Amino acid sequence: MSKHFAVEGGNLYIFTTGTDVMLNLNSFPRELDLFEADTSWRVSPWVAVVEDVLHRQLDRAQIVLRLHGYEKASLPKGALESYFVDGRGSIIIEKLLAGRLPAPVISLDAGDES
Amino acid sequence: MHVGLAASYLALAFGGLYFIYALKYYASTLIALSVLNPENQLRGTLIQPTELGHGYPDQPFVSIHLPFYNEANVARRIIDACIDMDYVNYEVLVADDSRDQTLDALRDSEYRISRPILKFIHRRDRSGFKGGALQQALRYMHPDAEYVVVFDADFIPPPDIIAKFLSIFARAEGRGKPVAAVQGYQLHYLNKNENWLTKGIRTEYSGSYMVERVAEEALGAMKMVSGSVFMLRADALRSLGWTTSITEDWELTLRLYLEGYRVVYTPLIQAAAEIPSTVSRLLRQRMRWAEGHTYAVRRYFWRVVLSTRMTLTEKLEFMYFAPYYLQSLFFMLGMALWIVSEVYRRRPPFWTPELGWGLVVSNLLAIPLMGLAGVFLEGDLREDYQGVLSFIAIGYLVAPYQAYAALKGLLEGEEGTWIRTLKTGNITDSFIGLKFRSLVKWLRGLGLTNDWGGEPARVEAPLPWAPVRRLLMAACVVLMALPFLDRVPPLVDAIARLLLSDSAYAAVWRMTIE
Repeated sequence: MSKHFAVEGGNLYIFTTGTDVMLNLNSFPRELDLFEADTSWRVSPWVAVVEDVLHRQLDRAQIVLRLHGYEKASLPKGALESYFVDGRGSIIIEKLLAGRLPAPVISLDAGDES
Repeated sequence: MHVGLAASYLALAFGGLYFIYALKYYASTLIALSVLNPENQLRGTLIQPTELGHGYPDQPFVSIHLPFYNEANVARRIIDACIDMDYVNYEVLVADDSRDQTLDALRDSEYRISRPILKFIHRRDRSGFKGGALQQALRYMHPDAEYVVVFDADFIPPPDIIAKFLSIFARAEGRGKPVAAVQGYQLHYLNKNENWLTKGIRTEYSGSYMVERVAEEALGAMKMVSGSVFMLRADALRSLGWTTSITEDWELTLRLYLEGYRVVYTPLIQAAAEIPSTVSRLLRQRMRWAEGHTYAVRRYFWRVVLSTRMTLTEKLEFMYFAPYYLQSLFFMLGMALWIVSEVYRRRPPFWTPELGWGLVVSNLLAIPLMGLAGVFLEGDLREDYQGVLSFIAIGYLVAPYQAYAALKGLLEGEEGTWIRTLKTGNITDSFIGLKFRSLVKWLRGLGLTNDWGGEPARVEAPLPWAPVRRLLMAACVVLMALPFLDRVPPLVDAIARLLLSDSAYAAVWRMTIE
């Protein structure tokens, strides 16, 4: 189970695996213009994609995403697109994440890392 | 040539041209009244849906596509209807081009946790209009999808609709040309009593979907994929894709037939829909249809005519359908020119008042009678018969606009733009007929309320089926023959003289009898 985001090919991908539920899209301020009329975007139960995201949007979006526990990842665009379409790549995504992500950061508020 | 005489010949030409359409409408009415019985079972056809699909083990994956453009009034209604199907293996895909509050529904986090899979695709522009949006849906469709169902946003599909569509595919498989699509009945009913216009359009759709298309199916003619309430084979759609025409459905129909596929129509798969409730909305919609239809006819005409994959019946239907949006103009021009010829009192030598009036009356009543037969076959004649008068008025109202748009489509270099039909979300009517009761129950289950106020609508005793059916069929026959009735007495007289009065012929006649 994981909650991540990635920036690939100019698109912002926000994705979850396992039983994690996708972030409420209304969590982003309206003025950020991410999931609004003037942007091309799509969302499935596992992946939300904002196409051709701008730097200024990305900077603030990352803050929101990190506040909600999303971690940045780097994954092939094809894998993320495929995951959006069929949702079957959850295990592949998790394997890719396990291989490519840095060691998990232990946060102080995790509670069970004594 | 004298103006009056020229007008009379032209009146006869236009009246005769429209009479060809009228004959088809009468024949269609006779066919539909013959094949549909009081329980709305289709005798001897393959288009009777079955109850297949409830829990059968190998459900093919179905992808429902919903094209949206500013659908704030109806977005949640159609999404909720589609995620509540009596089917397991499917997804719902919304292809959205909205600029309004529709986006609020799309952002709703409740839809992230719904089953089936629900995907929203929002585009920042409307490139390619509805076809462009549907192409996006196709791009992000689940790879396992074997069938695609399309609904416009103002429709309310019943829960068993996927299973019914699949049952038609299963029954038609291996019989004749491969079936690429099954078209259901767009039941324009939800706000039918909103005003005179909605009453008329309700009757018009009833005639088209309960009569005309039923006859086309019975005859094996070309049937149209009509924008909403249809299921397509995903492989056929993947290979052809959607185009950006303003009548993308008609263009897809032509391309499917050119590829050797056919479309099956059944009136027994139904999804209720909203009716355009203002004249301006109606005119914009019909002008788009007329322009896009004629433009596509021009583009595909010779390909269809020369196609080796289409049957003669399909080609004949195409030829009939090609100038479809000009037919009202034929009728109006015929009428106007006939009045001119009457003013000048100039007529062709074979012209009689009976022929002229017979042609006018027969042409005038063809489509209204088809509408009447349609509402009769739906069991709503007692309630909806007034709609026929509105229907006639609508015919005259839209004819010049449709004719202009059709001529535009015929002559223009590039197709015009898509002007949307606003959906209000109004529901004014309950569903009385037996076939609608499950739908009513389901609508109530969804918490949708309307003017029925919680009490079931009063069900009046049904009209006696057999006498009304016979009356409508007799009216068809009489009206088809009406322009020629004045030819009947002389004909009978001639035959009588020939056989009985003339001594020589009488002798021959007696010998024949003996």
